[in-house]
Amino acid sequence: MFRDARSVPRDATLETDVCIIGAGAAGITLALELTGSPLQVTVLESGGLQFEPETQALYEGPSIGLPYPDLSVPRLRFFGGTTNHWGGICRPFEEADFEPREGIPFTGWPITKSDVDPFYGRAASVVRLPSRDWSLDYWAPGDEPAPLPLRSEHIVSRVAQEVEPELRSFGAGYQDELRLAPNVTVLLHSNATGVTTDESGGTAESVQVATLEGNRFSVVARVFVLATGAVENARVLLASNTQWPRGLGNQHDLVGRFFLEHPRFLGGVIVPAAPHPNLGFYESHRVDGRRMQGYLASSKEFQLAEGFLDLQMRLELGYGDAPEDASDFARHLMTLAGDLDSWQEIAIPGAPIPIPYLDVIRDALKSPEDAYIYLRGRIESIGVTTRMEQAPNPDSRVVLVRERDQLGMQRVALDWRLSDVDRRNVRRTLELLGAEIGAAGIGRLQILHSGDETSWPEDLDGGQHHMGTTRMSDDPKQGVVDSDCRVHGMSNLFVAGSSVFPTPGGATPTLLLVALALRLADHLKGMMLR
Amino acid sequence: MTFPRRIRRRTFLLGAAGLGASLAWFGPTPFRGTSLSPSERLASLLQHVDGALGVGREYLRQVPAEASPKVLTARVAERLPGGLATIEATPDGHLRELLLSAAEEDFRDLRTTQVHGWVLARTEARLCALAALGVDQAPAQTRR
Repeated sequence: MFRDARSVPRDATLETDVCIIGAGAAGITLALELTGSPLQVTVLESGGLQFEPETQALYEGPSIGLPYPDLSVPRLRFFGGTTNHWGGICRPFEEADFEPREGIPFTGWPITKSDVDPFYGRAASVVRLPSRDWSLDYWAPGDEPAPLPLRSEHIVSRVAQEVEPELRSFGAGYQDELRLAPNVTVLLHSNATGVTTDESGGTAESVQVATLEGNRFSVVARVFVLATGAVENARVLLASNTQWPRGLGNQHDLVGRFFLEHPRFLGGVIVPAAPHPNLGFYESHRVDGRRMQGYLASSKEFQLAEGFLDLQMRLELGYGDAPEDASDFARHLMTLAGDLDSWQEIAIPGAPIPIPYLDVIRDALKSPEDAYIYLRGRIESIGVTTRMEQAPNPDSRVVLVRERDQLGMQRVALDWRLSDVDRRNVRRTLELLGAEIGAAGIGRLQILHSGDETSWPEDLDGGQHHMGTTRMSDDPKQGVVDSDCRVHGMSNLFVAGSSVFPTPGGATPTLLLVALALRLADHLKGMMLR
Repeated sequence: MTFPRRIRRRTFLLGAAGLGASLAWFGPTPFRGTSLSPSERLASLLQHVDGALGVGREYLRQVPAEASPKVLTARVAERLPGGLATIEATPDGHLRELLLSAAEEDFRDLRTTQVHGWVLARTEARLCALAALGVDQAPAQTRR
């Protein structure tokens, strides 16, 4: 059932068993899993069913660290949350992604891949992935497109699957199912402004709700799950400071710290030895009708040996200049025809065997437009965009600021910071990629940033993957939530979403956060239905 | 996947400087005969000398201990089967193939160096350095 918070009587107290705050990927997954159970579930969603600028503005918050967009840009605040503009790229975490890395503080999860594996299959169904096979054998069965023939074990090719664009929005995909769920109420336009506890401060009793129109009420529940994204999860906990002046779960000043991203920038450029290298594997394409794209990455063996976290590299093709238009092409051809060396560099992209040059000339003269396209297909450079697994850094954080939003809630600022090990990781991995590219005869790599630099490249950007601000650890001094995603020191307050990730891993976060939401749902059912 | 125009332009500008050097000895060069010294012979195999000079000069700045044709030639010869004699006695085409193999072996064994950001095999960087020495140490009237 869907209701609108604007129609709830002012100062009312709504009662439920499970109160889920946030209807994004994690919150909707939890609600779906609890559908049909004896538990009454209330989902509080800040927005409506469509984008509303006034609601989105509640996210506004500046960046005071490394350059980063205003906080109202990366996430979406309406039913379905950020899945409403999700890129749909998925890959599961590997075993090593959960393990501590020697020499890198604060790494290691309190759970292992085997704890999550039972949920990945269901998670794949929830996000509507076309396949559960991640092997190169499945996704690159033939000669083309194929992974680059790199010879060492330092750099590997990996597969990421893409959810079809029309299936990516959880809001569109699961609205009907939740509307028909007899035990689930989705309360639109409900903004959680804080969680209040009992006198001991160890049990959450209610969540305070406000609407932009001025309505206020509260929701009392047996269990609360915060699922509003890594920035807002921290904000709500920090703002819930009635019993705990520093905020809920923040006895050790950890809430909001360890903000993580998948930072990326153009790290290098490959000049290929041949004009048409076989790089289709690294572009978005279909295999058996299923959409995927490949990318390069440092191998886990290399990471463990060198003391680095993961580094992924996407290849972006730069095409050579060509005549301004096809009508100029005949003249251009005549010039080229006099230069046999140049002709040797012309081939048909994707052709399984070289096509005789005379045929190319003949075809070109028949159809200059086609030949023009052939020339446009000549690849002169391959950009290497590096995307790293950011090392945990306690100074990279979300903090409350003085300014308040329209609901009177303190806004947050993002102080995003990286570490020296991140810089060393990019540098060293690119060095090895350069050697691999040279050894395989693919071309030569130029690293675009000096190892002596202390600043980050101007094109540094995040992957809009917010993580880490309520990190998971079984030690309350190291984490905000335990391995069941329960806030330390609280008996009935849980967190869902990638804010619990202590490290970002070598994959995009959505598939894992959905798997963790499924795991949390099982945990809650086990706990509440005993 | 698109390649942003801003980046593509930067890529082109940076790439243009190194292209000749990094792929400097891919391609035919005329047979020069055996009257050349081993170091001159090696340098003559570079196809795009202009691009190689910048790389070679920077390499010599980084590794001044190798700033002599004799040292550089010896280092390159170490990577070739038969050593110095191979440079003197092998036809251009075959010598070029041997040098390419040596460079690939350098890459495989991580004997690389970085010049202006380019990750280069030691062997090819030394060839560029030989070309740079050949030009910079030639009598003024013979310089191009």
